[in-house]
Amino acid sequence: MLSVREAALVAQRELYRNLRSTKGIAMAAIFLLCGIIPSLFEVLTQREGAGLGMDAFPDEAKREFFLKVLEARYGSADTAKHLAEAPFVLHTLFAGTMTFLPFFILPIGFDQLAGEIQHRTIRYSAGRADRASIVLGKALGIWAVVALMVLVLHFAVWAIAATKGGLALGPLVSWGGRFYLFSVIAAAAYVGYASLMSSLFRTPIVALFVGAGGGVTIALLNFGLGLFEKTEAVTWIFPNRYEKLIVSPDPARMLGAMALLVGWGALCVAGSTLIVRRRDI
Amino acid sequence: MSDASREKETEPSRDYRSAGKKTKIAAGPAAIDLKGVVKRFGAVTAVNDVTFEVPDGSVFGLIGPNGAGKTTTFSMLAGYLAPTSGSIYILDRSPDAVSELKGKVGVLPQDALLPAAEPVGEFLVYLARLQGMDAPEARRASEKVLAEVQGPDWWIRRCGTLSHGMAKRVGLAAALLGDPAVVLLDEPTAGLDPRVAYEVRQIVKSRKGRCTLVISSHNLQELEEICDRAAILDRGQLITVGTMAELTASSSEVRFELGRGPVPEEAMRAVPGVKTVAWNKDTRELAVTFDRAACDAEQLIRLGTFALYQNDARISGISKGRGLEQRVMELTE
Repeated sequence: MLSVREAALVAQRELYRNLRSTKGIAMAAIFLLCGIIPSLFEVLTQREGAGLGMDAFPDEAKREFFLKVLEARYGSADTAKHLAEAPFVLHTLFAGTMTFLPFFILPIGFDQLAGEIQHRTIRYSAGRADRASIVLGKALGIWAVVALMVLVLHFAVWAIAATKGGLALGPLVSWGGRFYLFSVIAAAAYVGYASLMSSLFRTPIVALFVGAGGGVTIALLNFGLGLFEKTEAVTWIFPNRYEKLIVSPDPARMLGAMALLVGWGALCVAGSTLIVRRRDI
Repeated sequence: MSDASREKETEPSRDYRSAGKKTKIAAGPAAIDLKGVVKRFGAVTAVNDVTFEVPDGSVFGLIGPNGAGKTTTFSMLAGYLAPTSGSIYILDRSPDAVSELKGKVGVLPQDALLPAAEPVGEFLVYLARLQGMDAPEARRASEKVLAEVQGPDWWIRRCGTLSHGMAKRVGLAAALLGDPAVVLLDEPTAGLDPRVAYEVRQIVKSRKGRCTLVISSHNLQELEEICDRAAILDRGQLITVGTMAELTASSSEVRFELGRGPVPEEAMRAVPGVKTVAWNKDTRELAVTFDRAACDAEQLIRLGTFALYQNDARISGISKGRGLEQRVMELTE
């Protein structure tokens, strides 16, 4: 039977294991660089804007352009208007996080189960903890790792934006905190996906490649089917769909999208549990 | 096991090639009970209708050549594999009832790698905590069991830096964590040098009487030395199961190895209690079976030796029974 205590112990171990492994350290470094380099570039371009002729554009024109971009991305004028209030650097960070997060989560989590099944290390814990607790604990551990890495990434950008970009503390905390929370909630869906892929295969590298292929397929299907009115409804089965709703100014929509993203991840973890429970290890 | 304890075992072993397979064989309560267990991997039947019991507190060996189904049977006992059909009970619970069996069953899997990046102590504490211990208790239990396998200095060493022998002992420590009532050991000395294998055997022996031990091994001398009972498997089938005394016939047969010279078979037949006498000229062994109601093995050795000396035979060795290795060779041909 699933035990919260067992899941918590497994999650804690997974967190430690990832953070001190070569892969974990490399991923943290990549996250940090991904945050620092674009935000430094952003801050420096803003500072050197006059020299680049950016001042030639009036603020209103820039805002209009930004609104159009946001509306095109999120498909809602209300959401675009709401997000236009956010500091540009923080929104760019959020958009970048949401785009690249799935590609970072899979390399972190692809071997969580496949690796242990391949080397049969899971046998040491399988006699002491329910397999459902092991699967859930590992997924929670990976989620915690991702949350920590996203925090590192966002914190680096916040620090640069505050010190070099002159961003005030109020919008930084308000928008920065929200965007971080949204990113972490959205990560739940992809953590679940990584868990499912990892439970399907005994060989981690197969889980990685099939998972990546599946992820790209989901993203393409979400994009392609979303273009047509007749097929647009199908996109509700993809987590990417809810990412646009999570930033809605409507609290009900925002909370609903959060629940759907976590639910999507939970469904994947449930599937993963079912597979690992039935599997010979 | 000691000869005296072997002599105490009186129940005959069952040869499953000729007898019904559902017969109960164990005396006393069973810690482990397998009934009609079958395991198939696709078209391959790895274990076919295996039934036996492991009495509580005994040391039980799983014996057989490669492909006999030992590891598959072992893995089903440990809950790693689900049987295709049949039932398995450990302490009256199904092996997959993890929450009920937690802390009561310890397993040393043969080919499971330890987590390479994790320090030994941390890994053992993690396992102990999964068994339900709180943090201080888990640390104490881990330190104790690591000392028992003679590895107290490995606490902060990463599992990936351990030698094969060290890793095996850490695996053994994990199996013995928290003094479980049932300990399952799959090839505990495989691949170890003789010295480390000896040390591991001593650790296993020290657990005798404190728990029910099931040992799967190719090393028949080791099993003969450690086990009270054993099951012999071949090509997925249970061939026989019984006490070690029964399997080796040590309580009903004595073998005299003779040097060059006379072979007084008739004199041996005249010894009271002797049932059969057979001479093997290739091995120069005189195999004598006797009526256990009339005399015991020690008495027969005394009388038989006297008869042989009286007839100028040159005795170069005496053994009780056939030896497990020979018995297994006969049964798994």
